[in-house]
This record gives sequence, C-alpha cells and structure tokens, in this order.
Amino acid sequence: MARKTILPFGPQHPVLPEPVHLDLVVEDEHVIEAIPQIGFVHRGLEKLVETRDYNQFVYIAERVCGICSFGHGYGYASATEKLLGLEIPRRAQYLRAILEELSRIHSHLLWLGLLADAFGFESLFNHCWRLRETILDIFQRTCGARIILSIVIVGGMAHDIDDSELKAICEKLDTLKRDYREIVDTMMNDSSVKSRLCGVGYISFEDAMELSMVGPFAKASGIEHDMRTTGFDAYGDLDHFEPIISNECDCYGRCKVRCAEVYQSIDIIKELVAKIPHDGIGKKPGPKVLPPDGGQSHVLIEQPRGEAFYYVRGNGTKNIERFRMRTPTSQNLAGMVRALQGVEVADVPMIILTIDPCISCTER
Amino acid sequence: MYTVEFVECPLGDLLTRVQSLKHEGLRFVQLFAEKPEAGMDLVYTFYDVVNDNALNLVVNGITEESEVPSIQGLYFAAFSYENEAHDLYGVNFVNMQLDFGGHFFNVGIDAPMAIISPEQKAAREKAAKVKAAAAAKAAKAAKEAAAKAAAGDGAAEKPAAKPAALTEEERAKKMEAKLAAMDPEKAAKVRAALAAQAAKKAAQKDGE
Repeated sequence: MARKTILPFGPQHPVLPEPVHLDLVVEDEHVIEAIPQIGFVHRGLEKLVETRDYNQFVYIAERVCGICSFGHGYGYASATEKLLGLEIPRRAQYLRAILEELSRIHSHLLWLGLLADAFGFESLFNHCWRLRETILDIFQRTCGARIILSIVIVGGMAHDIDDSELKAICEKLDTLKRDYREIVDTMMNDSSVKSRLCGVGYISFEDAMELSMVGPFAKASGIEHDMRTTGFDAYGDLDHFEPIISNECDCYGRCKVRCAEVYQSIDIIKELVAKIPHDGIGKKPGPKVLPPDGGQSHVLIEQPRGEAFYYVRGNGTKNIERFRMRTPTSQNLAGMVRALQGVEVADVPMIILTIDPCISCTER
Repeated sequence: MYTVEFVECPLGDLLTRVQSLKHEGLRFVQLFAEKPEAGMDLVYTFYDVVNDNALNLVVNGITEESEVPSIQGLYFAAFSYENEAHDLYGVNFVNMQLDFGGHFFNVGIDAPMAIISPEQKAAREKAAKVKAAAAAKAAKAAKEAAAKAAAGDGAAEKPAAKPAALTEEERAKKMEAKLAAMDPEKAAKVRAALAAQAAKKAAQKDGE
C-alpha cells in the first residue's frame, strides 16, 4: 500500500511566480488533496482606505496588482460613483471599457507567455511578450504609463484619448491580431501541448456551478457567466455579446477560452471606438464628503480572470469607512483545490497555470 | 444592468436562509466582515443569474463569543472568506469543512483588521458630530417653520429682525464649536491663524 506524503509546493516555485503555498498530500505520484495557504504578502490595503481621501484611494486600488491594475481602479471608482450617485459621461464609460479590454488582452498575452515558458517553449514565450509590448506601448502613448495607468478618477477620466489615437489603436490591434493568430495556432495545435493539457485538471459543469467558479476557469466548464452580459457601462451598447465558453472542462479548454477572448476583446474595442460619443470625460470633482453611515454600494465587473466585486461604505467624512475587494482568484481557490485532487504531481504546475491565480490580488 | 439588494438577516436564521438561496440556485459571490463601533458585521453576497440581482445578507452584532455557522457545506467556495474573516477579524466560525486554525493568512498579530485605528476613530467622531449638527440644524429649521406658520402670513412678510451683535465671549464660543466639528489638522491650522491674527492686533495696539 502506498504511503501518504506531504509535498510542499511554493511559495517559491520555478513555474509559479506567485507567493502561494500548497501542501500536496500525495500517494505515490497522485495528489490526494491540495491545501492552499496564502498571506505571505498581505498588505492590508483595505484598511488603508480609512486614512485616505476617497479620491486618493483610486491610485492605491490600482496598485493592488500589476496585471489587472486598471480594472481595480475602474471597479473602485465605479463603486464610489454609485455610492455618491454620480452619473459619468458616456465617453468616459467607453474609454474605461476600451482600456479594460486592452488590459484583458495584455493579461492573457502575459499568461500565454508564462504557459509557453512552463512548457519549455521559450521562443513562444518571447513572441507572446513581444505582442504584449504592443498593448503596453498603447498604454504609454495614451495614458503616460505602462502598468499603473492612473487615468481613472472618481467621476470620470483624468484625461481624454483623441479620436485619431483611438483609430491608431485599432490599426495596431489589426497587426497584433494577425501575429497573435500565428502564435495561437502554433501553440494550440501542437501535439505535445495537447498531450499535456487535454483531459488534465477536469472540472465538470456541475462542480463548477457548485464551487461558484468565475472567469475563463468557469467558462471552460460550460458556464455562461460573464458580467459584461449584464450590459454595465459601455458594454450595454454592444450589438451582440456572448461569453466564450468551452465544454472540454480541462486545461486545454481553459487555454482555448482565454485565447479566443483576445479576439473577442479586439472586436469589442473596434466596435466601441466606432461608436464612441463626444459628451466629455467628466473631470468635475465629486462632493467633499461621502454619504453618512449606512450609505453603501457595490459593483461587479469582469476582470481578465473573471468577476470581481468592489464594495464601499461611507461615513459622512472624506474617508471611506469600509472598502472590500473580492478578486476572481479568491473565488477560484475552491475550484483549484478540486481540480488538483487525483491528478499526477507532474501535472500540478500546468493545472495551476491554466487557472492563472493572481495571489497579489487575493492578498490585497 | 443588475440590481443590488441589502437584506438584514439574524444570526440564528443564517444557515436556513443560505440553504434556501442554494435551493433557489443562487451563486455565492463573497463574504466579508466589518468592524463597526460595537461587535462585528458580516455581509454575504449571492447572485441570482436568472433575475440579474445581487443579494446581500447582512448579519449584524456578532461578538467574539458568537458562533457563526459555516456555510462551506453549502458553498465550499466560502472556505477562503471564512478563514480570512477569522484570521483578519477574529470571527468565530463553527463546523468549517476546511479550517486552517488561524494560519490561512500568516499575519503577525491576531485580527489586525479589527483594530480601530486612530484615523478611523477620529473619522467616526467627526461623522457623529456632523450627523448631530445636521440633526440640530434640521430641528431648528422645523421649529422656525412652525413658529412662522403660527405667526400667520402677515408676520411672514415682515423682514426678519437683525440678530443682536455677538459679544467677544459668544464669538469665541461659536468659533470653538466650529473648530470642534472640523478635521483636527484643519482645526489646528485655523487655531494657528487666529493666534497669529490676535498677536498682530495686539502688536498694532501696542504701536498706537
């Protein structure tokens, strides 16, 4: 009879540049149970909200994570605007949606590069990150920064993006799409990739529903849940939006969903650029103080890794009483634990990479 | 666009309520704790995909001794939030399927997020003062309106009597009340400016 052993995985691991520790309970080469542990980089950013003006905190929210930074600023600003009852101009909503979709492309390209690197496809990794540079260059040109954009403010946008610039973005995305197709086709049709991903880390539709999974992880198990379908902000003006799903329920399905989401984001950006109104960007400062105690609101937005939750509560002063951010990775930890049960130790890195956890977001 | 709902739920009914939500097919979104003046509050969020409604169950008045039933048996995804609320806020959950025993978040001190910081204390005091001032203002306005109504239309047309000039002592008292309601930093600056003004006046008097 095989003996049970605990195999420590992380927080420093060659394939996982995230500070998460997993106690893998293994029997021979099979994982019986995976127990995650986080908290290595907890920064207490939710607590910091008590000492900052609500307008200042948008910049702190952006610094929660280096990949979905724009989305965090966007989510926080949206929740605060909802609390204050501020209606922001449509153009600002469009610009936010365009930048959020660009962030999604940048996040997925980063992820694809890391996955390729874990396979040992170093040239593919370099090509993915080369393409990602296109998005970072767009950010630098339009926002003045590559990662922490600081363009969202409570009540609108800090500055506008010219129509000519938006047109240039669409042209750059056309080139990116062509190059990206070559990379993705090479990667997804490769026999060694298929042999390592197909049928691995299986999560059925029922399990995904039971575990309330979100994002590409859930979509790859056939769940059609995407907050963009609710039509918040500019997403409501899209002619047609349907979440990309896959019924393969394995690592390969997750890769397929993410790869296809890049094409979808490019199409969304082009449609929004074609429809963008010219009613201003809403630079007016909001009220000096927030609504008194009891005033609370929350928003749900679709980040690259899935649905994210932002909650704010006012206390009648310029500081927010309570800010809560629930990132998609926190929600997917239960799914990750389930996906790792019964797999071989050699498959663990691939499963974790296709789930794409972001511990920096989770720890806040 | 989805709708948002906040509903209060007594601690005793929590498990039954969550059970019925699970039965109705609602998706679990998140759970968080917060620390008001007394006790602790928990907010559970569920999403109704059919009606696009985010339902928030608010459980108020949880103390250190309260035993909060774990919902991991119904929604396993809650394990990370329950362990987080325990490690960072000191909420005592019972019957957890996956219990890290306080070691999910490796933080240096117990329940660090439940500590009321001096800034938060000051903000809460200020909020209470602002609230009291607003209530007093509203009561005064209501009283004046009632007095006007009692005096009749003719009295209302008369110009309001000029308020009597305030004495130096009354003015100082009024200013002190204003400063008490101000942000402490701002109040200190105003005090310094007033002191400088008084010194300047005194110097001018001496010169004369």
